[in-house]
Amino acid sequence: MSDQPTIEEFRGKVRSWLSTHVPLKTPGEPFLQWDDEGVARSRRIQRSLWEGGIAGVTVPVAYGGLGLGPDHDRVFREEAADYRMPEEFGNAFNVVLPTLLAHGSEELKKHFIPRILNGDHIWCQFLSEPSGGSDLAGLLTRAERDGDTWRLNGAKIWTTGGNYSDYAICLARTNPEAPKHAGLTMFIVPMSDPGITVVPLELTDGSRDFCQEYIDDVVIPLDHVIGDVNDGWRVATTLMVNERTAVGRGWSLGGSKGQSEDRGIALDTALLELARRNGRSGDSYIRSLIGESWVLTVVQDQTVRRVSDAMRNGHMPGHAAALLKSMSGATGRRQGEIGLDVAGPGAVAWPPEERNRWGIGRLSSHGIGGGTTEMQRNAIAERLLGLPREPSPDRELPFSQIRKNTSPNRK
Amino acid sequence: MELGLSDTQEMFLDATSKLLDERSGPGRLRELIDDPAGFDRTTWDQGGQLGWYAMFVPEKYGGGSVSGAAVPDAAMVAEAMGSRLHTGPFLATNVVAFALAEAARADLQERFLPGLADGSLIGTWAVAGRDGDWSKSSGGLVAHPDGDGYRLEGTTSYVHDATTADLFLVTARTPEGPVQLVVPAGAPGLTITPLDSLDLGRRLAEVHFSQTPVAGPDVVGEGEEAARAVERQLQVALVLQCAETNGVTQTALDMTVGYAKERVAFGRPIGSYQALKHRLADHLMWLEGSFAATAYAATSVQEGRPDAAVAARIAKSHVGRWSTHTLHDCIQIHGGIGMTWEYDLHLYFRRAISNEVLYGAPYDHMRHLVDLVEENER
Ligand SMILES: Cc1cc2nc3c(=O)[nH]c(=O)nc-3n(C[C@H](O)[C@H](O)[C@H](O)COP(=O)(O)OP(=O)(O)OC[C@H]3O[C@@H](n4cnc5c(N)ncnc54)[C@H](O)[C@@H]3O)c2cc1C
Repeated sequence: MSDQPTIEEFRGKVRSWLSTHVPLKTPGEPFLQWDDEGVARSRRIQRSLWEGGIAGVTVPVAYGGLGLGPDHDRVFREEAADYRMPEEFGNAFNVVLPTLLAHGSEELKKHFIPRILNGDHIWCQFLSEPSGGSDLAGLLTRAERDGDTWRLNGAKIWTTGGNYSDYAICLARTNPEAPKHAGLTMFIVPMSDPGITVVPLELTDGSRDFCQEYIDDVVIPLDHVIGDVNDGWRVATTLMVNERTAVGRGWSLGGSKGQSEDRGIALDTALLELARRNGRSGDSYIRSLIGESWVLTVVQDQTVRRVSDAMRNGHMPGHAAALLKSMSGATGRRQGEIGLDVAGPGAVAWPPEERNRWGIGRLSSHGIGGGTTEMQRNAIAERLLGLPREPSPDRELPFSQIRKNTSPNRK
Repeated sequence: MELGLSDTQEMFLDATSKLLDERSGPGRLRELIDDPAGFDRTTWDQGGQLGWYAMFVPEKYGGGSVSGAAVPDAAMVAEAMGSRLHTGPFLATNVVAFALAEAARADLQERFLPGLADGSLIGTWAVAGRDGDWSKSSGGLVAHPDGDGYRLEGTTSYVHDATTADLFLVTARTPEGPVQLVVPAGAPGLTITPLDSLDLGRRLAEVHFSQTPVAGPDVVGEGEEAARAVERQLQVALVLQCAETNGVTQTALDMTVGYAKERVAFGRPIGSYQALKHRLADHLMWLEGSFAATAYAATSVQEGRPDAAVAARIAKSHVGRWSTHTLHDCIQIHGGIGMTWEYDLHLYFRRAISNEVLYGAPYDHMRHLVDLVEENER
């Protein structure tokens, strides 16, 4: 398109809008704030990006976006690095939007995408179930045809933001007599439906956006299916590729300091400052650890860039996203160890007026959400390296005949 | 693995790979184990015809690189060499060509660059002392001012291909800071003690200087300017070394994945056992990180960006650490055969270990990152 802004014009536009309409990040604030205040603020911020004409950088114009390419997207992220982004829209942008673009009908795309971009709809993902998350294709929630509608029953769990979402993207079984991958369908579910009961669960870090849902006779119109009926596994594969890539990128809708093309590699000095406060910045072991932590962060960024570009240009298959997800799992775990080593006892006991961010890092799940590190390794080994699967009986048999967990994993 | 190459780069890489496939490889390396030079002069000359040593040299001295960006082009060749365990002074000669092209006066360039570019002159780069520290631009040598030049005294170590080099680019200490000097082979007082080397295709030596005179016209740089030049040479050397290591690691991993698909235990291929699959998956993951970090560093060093020093050290820290880790596991996954002299895997492992440590070990570079950040704060 000839009327596309140049990179520099776009940078100027983004910069001036953000600086006048969007709050800066405040040091130490949590990445997600799933409460009334945090969610309302994020809706306002997303609405403001929309009004400023800088929402949905790569989304086609027909669906309310800007129709620009990956370079413009990078510029947006670089400019947004210092601002509070509406991260509670993470699932909507990172997962739902690309999946709708790839598989949704024209009507669904025209209806739902602009409502993400303008801040109206927060989305969550209904994938994992009490009976299992890794074996996603083994899920039990079922949808049955009932005249001109679908009727949905079952349970979902570990739903990030379930208690604040407007819609869910939901994988359910539509044919239990087919092998497990061949009987699934992807639905759009309104969270306001009275048949959905949301129960928040508390995470190890004290947050309460993680939810379990009971689904009782939720009625879904026939056209609220993404992709074809019984072709939901293909849709879920697209979803997972996007989710893994986004986790690898750090999940943020903006950028991080280390990712700037403009400024080159920027190293976050928080660990070095911590070491200075503890009087340990001259210790050569501690200095090695600080350097190691930088290496991990920067290589992760560089790998995300390389692999995302390669997937986009067709040099690597979508399964390569598993490299990014598993790298962030490995990197996060090691950086948790490093943080603890540098912080020492201050990470496990601290004055009430201070915030502890070092020991707590050891409690967070870098390798579970979005598919465990083990599942990423399976994908890399089987899909990228072509190693044979372990023998397993569950791929060919009708789903109704295979062994599965039928009761929840919690009492 | 190089992604997004231009057509001309693709052609250059094809020609390079073809020559290496014909003339290099683990079998050829084995033939060269007892050869004092450790490389094959015919292959060296044929590489010269392809432009392997011309990349950093300006066109007027017979140089040029296919994409116009010498560091990424040379890194591409280094990776292809690594995957065939190619031997010889490719890296050292290119670093010397880079140094002379960037820093030296016109008369020095006229004397040496045409010969370096076509491969008729072999250069080597002597920076570290016996302490193996490439980061201080002072080395183990002292240069005493003498007329318009210097007299060299001392020992520099871990010098590549010293016995075949025609010229040495040495770094030495003076009361006014470092100097870089060109010393021709056979200069008075220059003696060489070859070292035994873990990498059976690598020739490393200590080079001793005793009252070795260096005339004014052979001074490449002095003081702060020399210190900055040595730093840039180290960046180029690190990028080429990382690229070579990536080729080594990729080949060893390919061998191992292939073996895991064929070798059967308990009635099925060993590569179907998750305990092995997961480790192989991690190796591929870290290797992708190595490619990404090396490619970023190549561009940054090429363009002389402010983050070049950081980017090169990040690449070395990552590549050095994970290549050896991967190679070790490649041997483990092969079982007994992986431990035999006849099987080629140890030849790759030897190069990976050697590259991990030469030009600074990963944790040295990680600590150096902290030094760089602190210098910037000042
Ligand atoms: C912070 C966070 C946010 C999340 N958000 C969402 C969300 O929004 N929506 C949603 O649907 N889900 C979400 N999840 C759930 C997540 O996707 C699942 O927890 C995950 O897929 C694992 O499923 P599971 O908990 O049932 O464990 P299981 O599948 O029971 O796995 C238990 C253990 O067995 C291992 N394992 C299982 N199968 C294999 C195998 N074949 N090979 C090797 N090891 C195996 C697993 O790696 C794991 O270590 C979230 C989880 C977290 C922690």
